[in-house]
Amino acid sequence: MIEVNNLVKEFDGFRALDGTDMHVKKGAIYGLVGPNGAGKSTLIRHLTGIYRQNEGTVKIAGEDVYENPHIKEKFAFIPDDIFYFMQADVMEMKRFYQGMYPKFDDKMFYRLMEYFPTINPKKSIRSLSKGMQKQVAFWLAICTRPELLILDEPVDGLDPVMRRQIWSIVMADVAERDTTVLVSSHNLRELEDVCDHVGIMHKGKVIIERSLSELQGSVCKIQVAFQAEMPKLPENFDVLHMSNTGRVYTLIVKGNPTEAKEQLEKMHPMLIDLLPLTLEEIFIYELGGVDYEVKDILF
Amino acid sequence: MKSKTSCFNKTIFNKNFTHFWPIWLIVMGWNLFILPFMIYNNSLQYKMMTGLTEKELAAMKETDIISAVSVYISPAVLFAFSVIAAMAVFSYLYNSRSANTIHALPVTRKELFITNYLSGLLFLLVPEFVGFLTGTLVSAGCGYTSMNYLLQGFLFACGISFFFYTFAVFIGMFTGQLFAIPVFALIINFLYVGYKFIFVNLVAQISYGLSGDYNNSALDVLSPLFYMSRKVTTNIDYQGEYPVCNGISGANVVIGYALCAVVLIVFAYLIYKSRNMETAGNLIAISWIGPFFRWGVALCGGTLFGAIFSSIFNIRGATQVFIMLALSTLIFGAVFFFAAQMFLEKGFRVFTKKRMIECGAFVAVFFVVLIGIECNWFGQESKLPDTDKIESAYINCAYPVGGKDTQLIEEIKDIHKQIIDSKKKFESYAAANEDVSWVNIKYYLKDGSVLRRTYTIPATDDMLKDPESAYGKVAEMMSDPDAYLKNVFGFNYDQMTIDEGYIDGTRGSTDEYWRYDLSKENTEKLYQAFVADLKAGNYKEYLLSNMSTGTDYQDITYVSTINIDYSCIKGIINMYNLYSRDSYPEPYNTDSTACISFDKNCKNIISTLIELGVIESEDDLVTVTEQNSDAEGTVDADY
Repeated sequence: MIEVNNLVKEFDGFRALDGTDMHVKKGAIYGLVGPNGAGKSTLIRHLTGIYRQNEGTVKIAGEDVYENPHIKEKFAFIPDDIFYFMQADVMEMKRFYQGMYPKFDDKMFYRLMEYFPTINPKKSIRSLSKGMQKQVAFWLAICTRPELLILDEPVDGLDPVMRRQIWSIVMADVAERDTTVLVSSHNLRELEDVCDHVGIMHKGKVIIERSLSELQGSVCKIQVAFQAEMPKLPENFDVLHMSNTGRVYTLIVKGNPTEAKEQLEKMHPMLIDLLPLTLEEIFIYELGGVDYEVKDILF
Repeated sequence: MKSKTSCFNKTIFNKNFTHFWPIWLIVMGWNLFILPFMIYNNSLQYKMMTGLTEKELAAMKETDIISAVSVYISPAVLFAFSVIAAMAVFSYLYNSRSANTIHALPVTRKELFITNYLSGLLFLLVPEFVGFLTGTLVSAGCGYTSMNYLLQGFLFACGISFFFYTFAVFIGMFTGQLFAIPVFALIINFLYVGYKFIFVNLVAQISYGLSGDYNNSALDVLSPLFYMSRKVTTNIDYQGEYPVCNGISGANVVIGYALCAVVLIVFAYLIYKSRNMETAGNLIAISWIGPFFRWGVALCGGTLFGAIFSSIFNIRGATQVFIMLALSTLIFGAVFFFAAQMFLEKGFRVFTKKRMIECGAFVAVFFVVLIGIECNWFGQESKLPDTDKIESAYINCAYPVGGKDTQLIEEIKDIHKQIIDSKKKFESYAAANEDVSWVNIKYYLKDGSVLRRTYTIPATDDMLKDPESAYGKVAEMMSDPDAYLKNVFGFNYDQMTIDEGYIDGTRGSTDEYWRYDLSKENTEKLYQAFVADLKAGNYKEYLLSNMSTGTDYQDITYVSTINIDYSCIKGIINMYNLYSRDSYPEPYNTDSTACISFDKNCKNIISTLIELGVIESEDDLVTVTEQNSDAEGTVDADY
């Protein structure tokens, strides 16, 4: 659905995107993560046809996005910083979106109204809270019946209940229409629940791009205890991190979790347990060797 | 379903229409107030007027319409509305949130540009059309007949609005800040004439003979608002029995600007197409404009503040003036260079090595230009137009002398050349002495341009006696009877008819005003006496007193003046108007009063006054010095 190759963007000599590559399959929910200044928003502005690249290609459904209204009709974009016309209320914005997007679903708009009971459609949107403004953005975006939803920090400012509700609306759309979702965030905990693919940006490049299951299957956490000291581990045993509390060792091991467990069992441990890794932990240990601001991803 | 090749987006147009309604409502209100309301309001006065002939009434009504139209097509008002309209419809470009949202929509930049451009233009044209239409209906209802002016006015308003609006849109494409549009639009509208005015003043400070006067030129067209305000006018002549309307002038100017607007639209669109949305919020949105902005601001700031700063100090001597001017200009230039860069970078950290080198280059180039001006590399000081290119020439010391006569032009050029050749001598003399005389020389060239020079020449008695000196030659021209008669009675004084006159004055310490009326016959006698004194050279001393700053002839000049009413059927061609060309347009006044001073040397006038019984003897006349001393004596006695 999305194909970005060797994308370069410079701002007054500063290279914000430095040969970025990104590939998102149709129907995927792709989480784009990275610290502030990594280039997530810049990449998204290229995907939405706002910025023109210095080099490289940005394609959606096989076509260049820039100045291509035919492709732009297929996606809806919810930026971090949402803009509404001055004095415009929800109904007026609805009419505007209806005029701009040929597939705008009027019935759906009224159907979704019940999901946003706190929003008065006749009230100026700019007078609503930031969270409410975001809800309006989702409301309108879903109604355009997009094949691709591009979301930049989508649930910032929403309360937990509304977050859950928004995501359930998005997920329902994905399930019903096989919508592709690209969501950018620096909050991994949020993404872990919804994404099936993840791309990590760092200094203008997507340094890792994998499915979540692939990621989770390639790193594991093993707790193990031996009678005596920790025996020498095999040569091919790729330990990313090891810590201990008394005789109990916690190992973060790169590779197939089952194979790793089997190898350790051969050393006759007193105790061995395979524990699930969160996305946060995977990133911490996976990217530990890179000059990477892990804290910015996690917190 | 929208077409892929669509150029117009109805949704965006509707959005503009509904969101910016206060703008078109204000424009509409203004147009309705100016045309229908004002015309109707003016028509009410005729209900109370009686005794007017049909012709007079028609003329007055025509004046009403053309007065309303003159406000309706006022370039300044249309400029203001146009800028506001352009700001409104393209306002989304100047904020990253709105710019990003709009450009993520399924619409091309071409569609956005055309739709927004047309929306803004219609904000102006539709209210103007409504104003015209209702104005026409109201005029018809109120019995006005000259509605052709309304149609003309509407076409003028459309043309002017079209240009100014397109101009504002064009300017708007270069900036990333909304409120920079009106500022830039205003500055660029006056940039050429403004900078020319400043530069001419700077050059005048360091160039021999160049005056700081602003002369209109064909290039003034580069300052549209200034140019249009001068050229697009409604003409009402109030001479005669009733006002005569001569229509609206400047159609060719409006058509010319409208054609320029067509080119500007294309450029504005191309710039919009290439504009990067990340520049929203930047003062300059197009990167290659940055250096022009820096250098332009430095040049204008340096010239303006350098010229002002150096003129504060009363420095004498050409070299000292140049050093002061060059220093202040270059320092201010550098200051403005970095100030401009601060605006571009939105910060104070602009003193980088790269910018220092660039600023150094600017200062060096500017310094070379100043040196060039000072050393006359451009030939501005020694410029003498070819005689065959001169339409008329004038020299003005006490009063303007000149015309189209080739011999006279050659004489003026000869004096001019002599003054140019004496530059060093005259400059050093003027720096150290007070007895100098100002000489203005003006050439009207056949190509419509004007060459004007102002010199300070030594005015000593020795030079006066030397017929070969510049001052001697100027004095000879100024004391020519024919030249003085032209100055007093007009260039065509030989066609005039003398009517009546009077002589008046005050009597010494009593400060008593007296007046003696003269019949036509006696006035003619006095005029002949005046001419006889002129031809006898009796006026030479008086005329020379007006030429030099270091001489004082008040002790022989009388307080009394002779006032002669005269007329000329073809119109009096005032000599000063010929010289300055900035006063009354043709046709000239047909009658006037000449006020003639005279002194103790004017024997013919004095004897005629005695003969006519105005005075008994010369002793009855009081000189300026006598009157002043009497007045001082009175004051002393009082205290």
